[in-house]
Formats: sequence, structure tokens, C-alpha cells
Amino acid sequence: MEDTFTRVRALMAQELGVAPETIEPSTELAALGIDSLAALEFVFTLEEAFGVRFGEDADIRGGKVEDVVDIVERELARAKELRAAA
Amino acid sequence: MGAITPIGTDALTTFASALAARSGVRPAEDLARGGRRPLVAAAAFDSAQVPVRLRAAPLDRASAMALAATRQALADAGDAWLPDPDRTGIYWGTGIGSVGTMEASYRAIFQGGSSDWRVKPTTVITTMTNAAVAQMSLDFSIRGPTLTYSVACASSAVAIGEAMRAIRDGYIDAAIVGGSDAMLTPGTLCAWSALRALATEDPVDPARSGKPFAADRTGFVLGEGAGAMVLETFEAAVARGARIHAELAGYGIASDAAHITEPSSEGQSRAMRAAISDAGLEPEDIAYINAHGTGTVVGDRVETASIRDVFGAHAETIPVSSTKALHGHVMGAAGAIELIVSVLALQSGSIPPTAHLDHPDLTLGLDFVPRGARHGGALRAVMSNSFAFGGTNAVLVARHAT
Repeated sequence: MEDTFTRVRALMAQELGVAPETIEPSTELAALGIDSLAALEFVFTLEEAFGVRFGEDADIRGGKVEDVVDIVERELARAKELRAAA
Repeated sequence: MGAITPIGTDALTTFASALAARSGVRPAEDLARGGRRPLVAAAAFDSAQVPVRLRAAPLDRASAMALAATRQALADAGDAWLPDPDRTGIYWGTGIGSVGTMEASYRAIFQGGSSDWRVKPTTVITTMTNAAVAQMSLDFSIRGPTLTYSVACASSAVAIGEAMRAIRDGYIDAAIVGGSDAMLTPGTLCAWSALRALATEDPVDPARSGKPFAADRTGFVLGEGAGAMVLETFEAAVARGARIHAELAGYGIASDAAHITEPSSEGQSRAMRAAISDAGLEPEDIAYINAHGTGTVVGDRVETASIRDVFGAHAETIPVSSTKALHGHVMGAAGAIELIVSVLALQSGSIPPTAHLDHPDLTLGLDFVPRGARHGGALRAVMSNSFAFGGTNAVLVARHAT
């Protein structure tokens, strides 16, 4: 959890141009000024960085940073299962 | 006025290079294929250095150049320039828009196979043809008409002329005008090469490959850049004590309806006559013509015939030069950059030469200003020609503001 959060936070801070320390797991994405376009961009960035896919209907805007971390962890686990099954 | 060009980082350095015949043309080693390297006129410009107030999307190189040139023009127009945003417009020209981003984005799809087609979510808003104008509107809070004109090589000349009319007709009070293009990309260079419009490399000095009006001309070199100006009414400019560069006095536009690429003297002549008449001038008042002058055999011939047609006996006494020999063909930005050069010639009395004219085409016979710039002239009015593929001819006339 810690590792994923740290990476997500670093990517988010870079994209938003803010210091990573200003972002907590409980920070609301709306409070970071992430609008619908920024959300799309950030999902794309995360997908590229972690090598996962969030799914077509993933909308992270209403949640907190920890919710995004959960999605990344879930998709990482799913990808691992798929690899094991194959 | 503001400019990012292959021969300058702003309007004045561009004009100084034009006077000194400093060429921005070089071979592009990184784009060489099959032992052949294309020629380019690239601008020394780093998109990452352009400050953005409200970024809508990642900026394509063309949009970044547009923004940079416009910032210069606004600074030049003076800090006191605070127009009513609802009564101010942006009239901008671009031939192709954000083709660099488009090529790079789609190359990944085509090369990656069909298993995972994927581009950035911002690809549409970065590459839409009005991307530059959209970003300018946001950055400068311009809330009147914000328009993009795409008329090939005449794009920015048309944009400037249409803005002048909108101000004259009272629809707006002021406008940011100009144009941008950045198409030194593999696909675009290949496409222009296939059309056989591009200059072949000069065997002695590649920088001298563009040779408008010369007997040994072979075409033009593709360039990139942006040119921007601020237009407002004379009264408003005087009232705020602005630095006034010139009066944009005349605009003429006419289409050939003859051939998609081959120019027509009839259409060009009509556009020139219309611009001179619109300015309330006579042909004899024009003291310098910045030619479209791409350096293709047919283009130079037809433009020369058009100038003879419009100016009659006076044609051989007017200095006519093409600065494309130095900055290449900057496509959608050409009209704006060449109008800026023309206005600075008007202001300074110095006329830039047609560079690389060692062997003039003697069948043309106009005064193409060979062998260097001419100084000390008292120019009453200047004209800039922009003739597009598709047959649209746009002509702008400027004179001293009084």
C-alpha cells in the first residue's frame, strides 16, 4: 500500500505541479482541482506507469487519493492472477 | 508585433536577419532517409519555455509558437493595452495546425498493431485546428470572436484582413492577429517532397538552397514559425499613447477557380488591385512589395506577370523581394511574418533583399533587390502578397499611420 501510494502521489504531484507532501491518502481529488479532463489525463498516466487498465467506466473524480490507490492495487492483483492462470 | 521565425526570436531580429540575408535553412540530418536529407528552416524555439497561465491541454509546437509570438506582440502593444475583452477578437491563421502531435500520436497506433490502440486523452484538444486560438483565448481572456482561418499559404494574411474588416465594420474594437505553423515532421516533409515543390540542396552551401526569382531556382524550403500583431482603431491607439507601427490600410482577396495548385495571374491581379483600392491608394504609391515568391518556376512567373499587370510601367521601378529565401515557406504563418517584415521596412526605410539571387531569371525582369538590402528609402506604402494552394489570393497594404 505504502509503495503504491508513494508512486501515485509522486505522479499526481508532478501532473499538478504541487509538492508531494501536500497530498495525503485522505485528500479529496476535487480539492486538488482535478476536473473531468484532468481525471482522464491522470488515469492515462497511472495506466502507463503501472501497466494496468482502469476500465472504461472508471471515474475517479468523486473519490479520495486512497480510492485511486485501491483501484491501482486491485488492477495490479488482477493482472498478477491473469499471469498466474496463463 | 511578435515573431518566432527560422531567422529570429522576435520581430526585430527577424527583420535584421532579413536585411543581412542570414539564412535559416539547413539540412535535417535527423530526418534523412535513403541517403537523402530534407532541407528545413527550423526556428530556434523550445516549447517548454513558454509560460502558460491556464493550460487547456499539452501544447503542440505550433500552438506554443503562437502563444510566444502573441506574448511579444502584447508586450510591444504596451502595458496600457487593456481592451474590453468582449469587444476583442483573435483572428489566427494556420495551414495545418498541430501536425507534430498528430503524427507522433498516430505513429504509435500504426506501429503498435491493433491489440491496444491508445493515445493520450488530450490528443483531440491538442491537435484540433483551433488549438492555438483556444489556448490564447484562455491565456489572455479574450472573449469576442476567436477564429481560426485555414487557407493554406494565405491563412494568416486572410486572418489579418478579416480582422481589419471586423474592426472597420464595428463588430470588434481590437484583435490579436497572425498565424502559426510547425510542420517539419517526417510525414509532412514527405508529402511536400512528393508534390515536387521543395528545393533541392545547393551543392556548395545548403543554406542558399532557396532561390526565388533566380534562373537556378528549384522550389522552396519548408519553414516553421509564428507571427503576431495587435490591431486596433487609430483613435484608440492615439488615445492610449500606443507605439503605432503602421496603418493596415488595405486588404484584397480573390480566388482563381482555375487550378488547385497552379496560380492564376487573373486572380492575383484582382486581389492586388482590391487591396490598393481598399487602401485608397494608387499603384504608384506602393514603394515595396514583399512577394509571395516561393521560388517555384511557375509561381515566380505568374506573380511577376501579375505585378506587371497591376502596376504597368511602374512595375519595373518597385523593389520586389521574397524573404522566403531566408526563412523558408512558413505556410500559415507566412502572411503574418512577411507583413511584419514589410511594416518594419516601411518604418525603417530599409528594404530586405531577395537573397541567393546570383543568377536572376532574366525573363522576369523586375527589380528583385539582388545583392543586399537597400537603405534610406522614404516608403509611402508597402504590400505583402500571399497566394494559397486552392487558389485563394490575399494581399495586404500598410502605410504610415497619420
